[in-house]
Amino acid sequence: MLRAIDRLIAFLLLLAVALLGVATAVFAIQGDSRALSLPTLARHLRLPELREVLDDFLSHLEAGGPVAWASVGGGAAAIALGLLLLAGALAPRRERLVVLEEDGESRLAARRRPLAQIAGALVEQVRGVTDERTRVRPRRVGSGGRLMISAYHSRALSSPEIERQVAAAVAPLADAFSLRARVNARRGEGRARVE
Amino acid sequence: MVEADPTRTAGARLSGRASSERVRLSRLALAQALAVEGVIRADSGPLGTQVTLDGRERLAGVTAAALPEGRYGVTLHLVAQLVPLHELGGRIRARIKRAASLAGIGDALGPVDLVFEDIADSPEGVV
Repeated sequence: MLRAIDRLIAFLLLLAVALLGVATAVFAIQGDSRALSLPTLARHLRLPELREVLDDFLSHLEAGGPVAWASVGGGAAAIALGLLLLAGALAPRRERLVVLEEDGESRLAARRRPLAQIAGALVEQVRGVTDERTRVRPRRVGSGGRLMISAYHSRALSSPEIERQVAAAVAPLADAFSLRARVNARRGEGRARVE
Repeated sequence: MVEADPTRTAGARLSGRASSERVRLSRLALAQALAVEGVIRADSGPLGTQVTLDGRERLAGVTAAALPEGRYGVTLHLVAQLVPLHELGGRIRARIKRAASLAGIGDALGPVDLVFEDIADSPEGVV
């Protein structure tokens, strides 16, 4: 999520810089105060008015009071946002592979989808399960990850019993891939009610 | 104007020789992996980038990278049947290692990474 926000902000900033560059280049064609001159661009962008507003703001800031405190809050928020974006850019990307075995040199790995398929096939074999949803989330570093299972069952069975059976069914897979299984059993609705 | 003779430059010689050994290893690893029961096919990935090029031929699902010690690390991207992947991986590695030794390129074979890209019921249909 943070990475996506990072990319969006980077794209928007680059777009803004590019547009500003184009505008500056176009308005540098002529000199003095003619139509395509830099003073005209400044007038279009209302820079003189902005300067006045900024002067006013800075004088309020020097005087202390609510404006100064609002500025402190804004600065702190900007720092926090910057740190968050930095974390999004620098945090290691989540591995798309679940590593089964890594002996220093070679490794045996599988993508999340086939593992979820295997887990789903194991869950469906449990008596009473009418439908299932499985998701695999590899760890950011190292091997293993999380295996999240939603198992739907008929009304005749209890959820704790289904959770126990499903956990036992996926245990060989979870152990082999160092996956921490989390099973959530619930009564099925609609088609998921019927076995 | 002086034109460099590409066949006489060290880089070109190295590249040509390394490429052939790399391709031989890739081809051998791919063929051996596909011969193991439980392996359905190799997969070049969603963008088709997991390939080794041998002239005009594309060896899909296998890549080989040169290692500092002069060996090649081979990575295979496979679609397998619903079988225990750990044992399947062991069988594939053993077979590749044996075949590479028999072919006289065992010393060039480095680590063999296996990535199971998908699971399929049968050779015809991917689940």
